[in-house]
Amino acid sequence: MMTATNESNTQKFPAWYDGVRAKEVLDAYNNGGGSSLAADEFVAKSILPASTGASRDFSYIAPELPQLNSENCVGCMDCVTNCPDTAILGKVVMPDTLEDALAGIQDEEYKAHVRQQFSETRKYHTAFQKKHEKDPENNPAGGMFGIFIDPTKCKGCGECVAVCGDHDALKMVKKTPDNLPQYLSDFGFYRSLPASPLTHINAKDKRDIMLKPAAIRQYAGGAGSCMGCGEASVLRQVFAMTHEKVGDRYGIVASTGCNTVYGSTYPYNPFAAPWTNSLFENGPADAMGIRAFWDQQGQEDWVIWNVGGDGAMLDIGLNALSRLLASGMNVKVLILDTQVYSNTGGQQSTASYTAQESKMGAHGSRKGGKSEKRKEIAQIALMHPNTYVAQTIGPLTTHFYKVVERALAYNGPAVISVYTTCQPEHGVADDMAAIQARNAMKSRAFPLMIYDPEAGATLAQRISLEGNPAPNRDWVIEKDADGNDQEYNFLSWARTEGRFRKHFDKDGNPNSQSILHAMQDRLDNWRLIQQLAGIPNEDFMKSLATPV
Amino acid sequence: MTSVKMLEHSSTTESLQNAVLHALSEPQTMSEQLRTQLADYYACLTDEQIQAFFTEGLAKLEEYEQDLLFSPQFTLKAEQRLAFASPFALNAYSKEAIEASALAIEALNLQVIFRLPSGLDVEIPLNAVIAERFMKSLHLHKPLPQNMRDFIESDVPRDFQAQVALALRDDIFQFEKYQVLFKEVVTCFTKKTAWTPSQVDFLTFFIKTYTPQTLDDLFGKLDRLIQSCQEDMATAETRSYHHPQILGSNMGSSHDHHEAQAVKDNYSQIIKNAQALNDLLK
Repeated sequence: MMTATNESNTQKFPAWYDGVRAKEVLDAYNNGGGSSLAADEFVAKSILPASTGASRDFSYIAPELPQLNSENCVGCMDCVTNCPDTAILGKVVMPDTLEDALAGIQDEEYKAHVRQQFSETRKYHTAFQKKHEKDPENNPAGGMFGIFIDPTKCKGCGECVAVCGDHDALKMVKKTPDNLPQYLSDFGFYRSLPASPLTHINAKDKRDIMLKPAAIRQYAGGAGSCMGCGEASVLRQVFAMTHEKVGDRYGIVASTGCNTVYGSTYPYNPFAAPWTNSLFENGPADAMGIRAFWDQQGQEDWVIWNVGGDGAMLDIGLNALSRLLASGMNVKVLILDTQVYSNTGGQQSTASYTAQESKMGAHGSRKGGKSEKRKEIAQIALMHPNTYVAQTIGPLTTHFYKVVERALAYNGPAVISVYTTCQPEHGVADDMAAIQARNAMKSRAFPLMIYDPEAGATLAQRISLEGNPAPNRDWVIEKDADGNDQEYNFLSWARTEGRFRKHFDKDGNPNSQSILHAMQDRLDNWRLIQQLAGIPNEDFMKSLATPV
Repeated sequence: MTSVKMLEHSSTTESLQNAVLHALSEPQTMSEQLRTQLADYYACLTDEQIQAFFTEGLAKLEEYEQDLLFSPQFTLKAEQRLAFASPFALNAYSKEAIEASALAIEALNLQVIFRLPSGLDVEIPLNAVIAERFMKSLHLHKPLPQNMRDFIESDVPRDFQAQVALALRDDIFQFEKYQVLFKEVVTCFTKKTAWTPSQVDFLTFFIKTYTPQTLDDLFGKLDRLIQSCQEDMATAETRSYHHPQILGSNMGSSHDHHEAQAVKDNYSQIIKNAQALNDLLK
């Protein structure tokens, strides 16, 4: 039996794993000696033990690491939720337990430093303490809350700092041989503490799921994804919520794409659940087979997820996906929509936006990027019988977890399409996964949408556009500093992404017809789903009333 | 910069409380992060929805929920903190006094006004949650050791006293060895009359982050920081980069473009700060 070293990922593997051999392989890879290993039984069987990613040491990668100012931390858990690498974790600990643990530290200076990593937040301390003081018998005392960085998982993307924002509780600092050891020691202390008490995990605040070791363990980190990968944080959240709802009774079929490359780089596996990789085109068929088998075995309550990118689900595997949805089988589909074939170098997909430049699809300055319009998988999927469909973004935690919970509860096929930032292919900074996803939503490039077949008898009742700003307008109208109206439209967002850079002059003005066509396409798509949702668009109505 | 000495006569908890009241009585521009949170968690997407929520929904929130919602708005950043807290930088305020002061502010039953972009003014009660967040973000409740206060008053030029007093409230300066090291470096600064705000920021940040034990150790750690930056600059073209929010908060440098060049510029600034510190001390 092998036990992973990371507290958050502590897990005993089934007896049929050769734990000794697995450890030998992991140690060899961690020490750069992988190529000298003898032939491997795991490889022969195409098997990776679960959660081996927990053992991966990335501490040589990050040029910078987050530094906590605990005084400013409120325990919102946004940093923990949005981290793509399970590299920043939160902990609630009761004061006496903390003191007991601190008593084991001899060095007074280091003890003071560790104590500083905790604070008395209103969420985990004051709110509890007040009730405790009134009725100590029935209310637990306030807990101390701390944030800890695992330097062996952190790639230094800075996403945690970006989402922390004006809380100003995190900042990036240069990693050197002088401060790295302290991060390792601090994380060792974190691992030595017991799990956060369930009494202090807030059921109203879904972000608190990530305080549960079992939830964190569903995606252990140590995956080969890029710094700040928007996909990985979505995978973490989906599987944390899945585990929350059904425990270990779920499995994953991954259609080939970036997620299968960074998610199964031998010998590192970030997933705790049974996971299998099929080709681009037949993940849904594979998932259907597993579903049928589980149903035969009386495991109807098990959840099967089919995960794929836009290349797999909109292009190469669309036939199989359509077949799956038409079958009515209880399979959950997660589409990680980066609008490009990220793992093969950047070919355009049918999800790519008009005018989008993709690395492998570049045709020189005279060409205007992609000429076709974007395919909308959500609209296609909802026309299949009794299929639950949602389009969402990861950083919008409330909306995101709501649709994942509903998809899990829905007894039939469910598709969740998620906009996921791909830094190298979108041409945006490492820490901008959340910001760019939000702005894509706001710009109508990727509107939020829910289609719930059980929400009513009409399309309008079944389709919800809740969460989109200005749902009855073409574009979002904002005020600038002088109080003047400013339209936030597709161009406002596109000019912030490298993939559209050629369509703007140095002052940010559009200079191509292609980008204007892209904008019209996004407006047409938005108006279409407004109509499906039965939401009158006042700008559209005005344009109809205006004589040509 | 405001002189600390000149304002000492008003350095009481009451005057701090009055200053906080004054700051919070000004109409606030709602931060992007607060707007985002209102949209995400309370479905307030328009100014009218925000107004309705503030009128009817806010009172239903628990204190911790209000803290989660409003803390980004009422947390002072480093520059704001320096500007606001300078008059109080050499005073002692206990955590209990700050909390009592926040409750006293709440008892006044005042309102915080948000001026929304549409021109609509919306109000929320100025409660202890908001007042305490604002006051604690000043970090004035963190103790300033008496010997360091004496040192500041005797050895630090008046224009820098507030900045140094605020910096020394970091927990690490409770330890004598860091006090000694800080004094040693600052004395050197003073002899060479080469004070700049960024040097003080860099020094306090450097001590906190890399914990040099002695002056020799500080030189060694500065060298390794410089080397580490140089190595990353050499590969900046092939790796990714951060956006300005992070660059701006990192060791005193700031840039406004998302290019690999920004990484180089950022690390160049760190190297410059580190070398300047090295040069001053040698």
